Amino acid sequence: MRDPRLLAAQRDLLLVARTLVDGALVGVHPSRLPGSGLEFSQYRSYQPGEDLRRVDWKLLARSDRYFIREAERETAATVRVVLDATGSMAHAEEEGAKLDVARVLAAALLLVAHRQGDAIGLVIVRDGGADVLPPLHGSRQLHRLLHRLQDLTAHGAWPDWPRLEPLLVPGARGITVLLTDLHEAGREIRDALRRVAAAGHDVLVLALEGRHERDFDYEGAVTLEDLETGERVAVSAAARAEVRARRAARAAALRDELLAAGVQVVRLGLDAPLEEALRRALEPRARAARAGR
Amino acid sequence: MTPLDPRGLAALAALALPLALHLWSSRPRRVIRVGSVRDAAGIPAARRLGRRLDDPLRFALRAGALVALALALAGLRAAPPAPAAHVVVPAVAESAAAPLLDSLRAGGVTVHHVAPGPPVWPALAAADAQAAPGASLVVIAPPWASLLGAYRPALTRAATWRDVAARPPGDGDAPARVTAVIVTSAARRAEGRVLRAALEAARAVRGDSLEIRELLDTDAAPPVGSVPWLAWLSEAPLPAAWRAATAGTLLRAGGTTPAMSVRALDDEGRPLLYEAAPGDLYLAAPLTAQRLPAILTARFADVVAGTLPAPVTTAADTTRVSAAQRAPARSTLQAAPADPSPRERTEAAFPWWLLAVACFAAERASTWRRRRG
Repeated sequence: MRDPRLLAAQRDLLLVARTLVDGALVGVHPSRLPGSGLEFSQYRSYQPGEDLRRVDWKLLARSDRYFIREAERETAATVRVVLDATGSMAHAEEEGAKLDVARVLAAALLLVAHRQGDAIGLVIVRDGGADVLPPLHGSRQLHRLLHRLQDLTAHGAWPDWPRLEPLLVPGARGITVLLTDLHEAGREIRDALRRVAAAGHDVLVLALEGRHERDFDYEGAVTLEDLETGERVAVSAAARAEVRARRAARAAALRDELLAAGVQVVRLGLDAPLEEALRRALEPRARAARAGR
Repeated sequence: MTPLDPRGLAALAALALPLALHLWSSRPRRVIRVGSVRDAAGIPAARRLGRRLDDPLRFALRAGALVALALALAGLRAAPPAPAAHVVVPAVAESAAAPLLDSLRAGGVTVHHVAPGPPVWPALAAADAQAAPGASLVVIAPPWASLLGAYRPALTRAATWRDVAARPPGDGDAPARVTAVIVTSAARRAEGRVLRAALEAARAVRGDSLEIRELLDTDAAPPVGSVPWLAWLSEAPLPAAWRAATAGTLLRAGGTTPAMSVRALDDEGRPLLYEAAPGDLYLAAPLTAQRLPAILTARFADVVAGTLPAPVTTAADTTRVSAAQRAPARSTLQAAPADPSPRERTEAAFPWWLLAVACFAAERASTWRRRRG
C-alpha cells in the first residue's frame, strides 16, 4: 500500500522528511567538535554573554561557580547523498515508484546530517551525467538540496566512469550514501562504487527493490520492458523460477563483490515502511559509531 | 463411470483449442516496465518457447470447462440405470395377462408378441437380441410343455417366467390337421428317416394336428387334394403333378444357386436350409451325420418344425414344466448399449453442466482480476 507521505513529498519534501526523521533517529556518528550534545566532553568557565541555558546548575549549587558543560557535537562529517535517477528508478509498484521512495529517504538522510551539523551535498545521476551540489553547512544548503530533489524525474542511463570521476572523487572525504536499484547495463555502478571507496570515502549503498521485482510473481506470461533501454523480453510463467534464481544469485554476487571493496550494501524493499527503511539505512553508521567509541 | 452417449466424448477434441491458444498465443502479453530485463534476457529463447504454456491456472480452468462440457454432452454418470425389462407374451397368454400387460406398457416396458403357435424360444431369442444390455427378459406365459421346443437357444441374459392361467388352445376349437409328405428315392431312404424323425419331434410339440406320410416311390401319384408340406428327397426332378399338388412348403434335396438365401443355420453358423422363394426350400447337404452334423441336434427338429404351416389350433400339451426346464441356455455374448431416455440424459449431464459453468465463471473472474491488476 502506498505511504501517503510519498504523495505529500511531491509538495513539501522537508515536512515529510521531518516527520520521518523525528520518529527514528539518534546520531549517525560521533563528532569531534565541541558544543551542545549528548556525549560529555568537559567543563569550562562561563564567559559573560554566553547563553545562560548552557550553565550547569547542579555544579553551580555545589561549587558556587559558573561552569559550562560541553559535550561532543553529534557530527561534523561531510555527508554526500548520491541519488540514482536513471530510467530504471521509475520502476513503480503498489507502494510507489523507486524514485519517490529514494527521494524521501534522501531528504531524510540529508535532514539527519544537517541536524548533526554535517556538511551535506547531493549528486543526482541521470541522463548519462550527474548534477553535483557540493557539500556545505547550513539550512540554506538543506533547502537548496531539497528543492533540487523536489521535482526530480528518472531518466537516462548511468554515466561512464570517466564522466563521473571528476564529480565524485574530489573533495573532502566523508560519507557517501548511494540510493540506487543497482541495475546496470555492465559494471558501471560497481566500478564507480569501488573507485569511490578506494578514494577514501565511506560508502553506503541503499539498494531499493520492489516486491514483484524481487519475487518475480507476475501472473501468466508477461513481456518485460527495460525502462532504460526499452528492450522487451517475453517471459513465460514457467520461466519465473529461473528468473528468480538468477536474480538472487546476481544480487548475492554483487553484494559480496561490493563488501570486498569496502562498500556496505543495505537492501530496502519498497514494501517496507519508510521509518524502517530509514532505520535500516542508518543502522550501519550507528553500528560503526558504537564500535569506534 | 459410464457415458450415456460416447459420441459426446468427441467434444474432448476441443481441448486442442485452448492448448494451442496457450502454446502459440500471439495475443499481446501484459507489458511490465521494469528496471532491468537482464535476468530474464539470459534465459535461452528456445527454452522459453518450449515451456511457454502460459498462465497454467487459466488454461486449467478453460480445459476444465471444456472437459465438463464434453462429459455433459456424453452424459457421463456414476452408474448406469437399470434398463427396462423386455416382455415376451405368447398368444395364448394375451387375454389372461391383459391387466398385467397394460400396466407394463404404461411403464414403458417393451412387449414382444409371439406369433401364434409354439414354441416360444425363437421369439425369446429375438427379444434378447433387441433388448438393452442389462435389461431383463420376462416371459408371461402359462407353464405348458407345449410352449417349449426341444431346442433351447443361447441367450445373453436370464429369462424370468411369470406364469398366468390361460385357456388351452383347441379347448373347444376344432383341430386343423396338417399333412406332411416325404417322398424319397431308394438311394436316399436313410435321409427320409432322419426327416421323419424331425417331423415326429415336431408333432410331439404340436399334438395330433400333424400327419406324416412317407412314400418310398418317386413315381407314385400325389395324394388327392393339396399337400401343405412336401419333402422331395430324390435326384429325379420334381414331377409336375407333385408340383401342382403342393400348396405350402416344398423341401428339396441339395443344390444352391446364387439367388438363394440362407433360411436356417446350425449352432456353428453353417447353413442348414436355403430358400429360393417363399416356401421353396433346399437342404444344404444330404441328411447324413457326416455331411450335416446338425441333424443329430435338437435344433434341426425345431428348424424343420419352423417350416411347417401355422396355425395349429389343436389342444396344447398343458403338462406343467419346471422352472429349470424353462431356463434358456446362457452365453457370454455382449450386446450393444441401449439408447438412454431424455430424463436419464438430463440427470447424468446436470453435474457436468454445473462444473462447466463454475469453471467458466472462475476463468472469467481470473481474467477480470488479471486485467485489473
